[in-house]
Amino acid sequence: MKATADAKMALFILSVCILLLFWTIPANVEKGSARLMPYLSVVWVGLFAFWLLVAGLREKPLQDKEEEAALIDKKDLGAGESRIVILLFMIWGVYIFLLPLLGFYTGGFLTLLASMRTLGKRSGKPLWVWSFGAPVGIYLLFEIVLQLRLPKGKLIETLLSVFAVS
Amino acid sequence: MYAQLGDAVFLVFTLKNLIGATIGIVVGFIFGAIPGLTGNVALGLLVPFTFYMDPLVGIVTLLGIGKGTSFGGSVPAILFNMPGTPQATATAIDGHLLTQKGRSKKALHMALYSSVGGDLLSDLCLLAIAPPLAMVALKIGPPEYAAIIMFSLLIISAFVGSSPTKGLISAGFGLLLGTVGLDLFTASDRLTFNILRLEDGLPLIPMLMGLLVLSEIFLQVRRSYLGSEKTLIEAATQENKKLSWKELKQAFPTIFRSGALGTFVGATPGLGATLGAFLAYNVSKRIGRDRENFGKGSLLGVASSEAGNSAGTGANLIPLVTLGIPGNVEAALILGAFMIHGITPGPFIMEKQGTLLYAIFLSLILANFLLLALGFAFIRVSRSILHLDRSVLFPIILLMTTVGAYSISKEFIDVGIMYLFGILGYLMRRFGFTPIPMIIAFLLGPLLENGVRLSLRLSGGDPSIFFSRPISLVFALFSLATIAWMFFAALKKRRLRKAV
Repeated sequence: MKATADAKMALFILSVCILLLFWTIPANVEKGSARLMPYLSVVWVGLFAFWLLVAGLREKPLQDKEEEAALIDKKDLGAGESRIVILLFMIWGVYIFLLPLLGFYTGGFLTLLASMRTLGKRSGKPLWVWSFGAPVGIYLLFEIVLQLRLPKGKLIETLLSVFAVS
Repeated sequence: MYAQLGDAVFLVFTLKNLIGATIGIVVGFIFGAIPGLTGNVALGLLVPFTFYMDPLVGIVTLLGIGKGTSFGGSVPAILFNMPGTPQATATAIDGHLLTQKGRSKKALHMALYSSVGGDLLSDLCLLAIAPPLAMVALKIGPPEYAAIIMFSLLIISAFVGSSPTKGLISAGFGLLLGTVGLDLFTASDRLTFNILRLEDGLPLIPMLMGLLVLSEIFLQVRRSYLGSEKTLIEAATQENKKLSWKELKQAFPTIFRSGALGTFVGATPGLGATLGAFLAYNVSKRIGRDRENFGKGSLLGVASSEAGNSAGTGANLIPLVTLGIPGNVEAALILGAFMIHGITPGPFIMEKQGTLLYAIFLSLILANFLLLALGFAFIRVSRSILHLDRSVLFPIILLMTTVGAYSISKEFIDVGIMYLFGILGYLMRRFGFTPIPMIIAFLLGPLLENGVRLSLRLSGGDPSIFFSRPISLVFALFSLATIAWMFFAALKKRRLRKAV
């Protein structure tokens, strides 16, 4: 019997449940009534994952594929272009990682520039106007209107202090 | 009640409140009209900003988004056969056929009038029904509350996505995530992994923005690269004549009937505006006027679906304010905003914050008239909004969400949490799991746990307490019936497949 995508997913979820039941919850939740809800939640997930597994195993893989294709078509999720999404995840992942260093404004400008280029805005005035304008807009909204200071980043603050001293 | 209502009137007619409602409606129009960027995305984006607003203005702004989105979604549905929101799907059936016949302006105007009509009806019901319902709700104890929450959770999880089983799995994980933080009764750490920030539980807004806004954008990015956007611009046609008074008058019974149906469906947790729209459309198709032209380009078809979905959107507030149960994800986000402002929806809300609640209800009614006025302007500019360049729009939204997630607690970890949930939401949706039950379960989980543990304390640990009191017994049986229905529906589906 060949497993369908749903059956594989159910197996993965069941493994997570086992991990949660026998390791994560006992190690991170005090004994007693505090464990009631975490255990109940995992049992809930486990039961329905088992249901999904049974349903998945009883499905014919071909039929399953057809259904998934129909579902994807229905939701207009598309078929292959994950590369662009992964690239975007990476750009924004780097931005978040460097946030304490570059801050919201400089980091935002660079990230917008990279993201827009990745999404197809290769050149021209709009690329620069929006990349520069959006952080300026955020600065005006947060720092001027809402009076909320956003970190400018250690690098920028150091540079500013150097220039201020000199 | 009347004293509170009187006080509320003075709170409603302020410039700040009107501006808040206008901003909400306009933002809702834009997000509703851009396919994929639903009201949830707009709500997720604006919830953090309302933190800095007056509670009434903040909540009215968010509710204005719901109204704006409801109509905004019908514009691309009618012009381009591309519903901006799921609830506008039924509108596209007749709406786009009318566009092809060169009657797009009539269809858009009918959609606007019906949207306002249906919404107004549901708001009036909210004003009339919510306070007495809240009084009844006061009589509900922990076992009843736990049973009602359990039933709602099952219904929402089973009906929201394409697969009930996956919805229930998603809800189970939501319940687990809701347990993160200090235990309600023993104050001991639960699943915090020694991270101080998690002692208060997972931060709600970053989690919501990740699961809804980020995942939606990543899915949209993927979709944009399939070229489906091109047809959107090319299909537009420009014409024609306004809706006549006679045509509008003929639609009044349809709008009223569909609005009433939409209100009923919307007030039932988990059923939602999309179901309201389709139900109203189908009922009109069977018993309404001009039924022979439904599916061929009928103005009454547009009126049915629009009144049904808009009424459903407004009525979602009924279970939220009276029982504290968000019927859908928009209501869950509104619940988040209520919590940010220290307002606790539920049976006691009329006692504690009655004036504010009445002010919200009255503002909603007022916002319908703003919706009508702004709607006409929006119809004129709608085509240009649909031409927005997504390669510019999506990165800006990503930046806004990042700043929004940080701005609430001023902790970098919240931004990280948002992105983790963004990736999780994206993967969930790619594999056919909807994150909506997870969010609702996350919000309802602590309430459910509180109800269950208090009930067990009351009964000395005996779980039969849930079956020994009439209201909790009824809801427990409803829950069992829902699971049984799902099981038999799955069996039936399988038998049908075998037969084919």
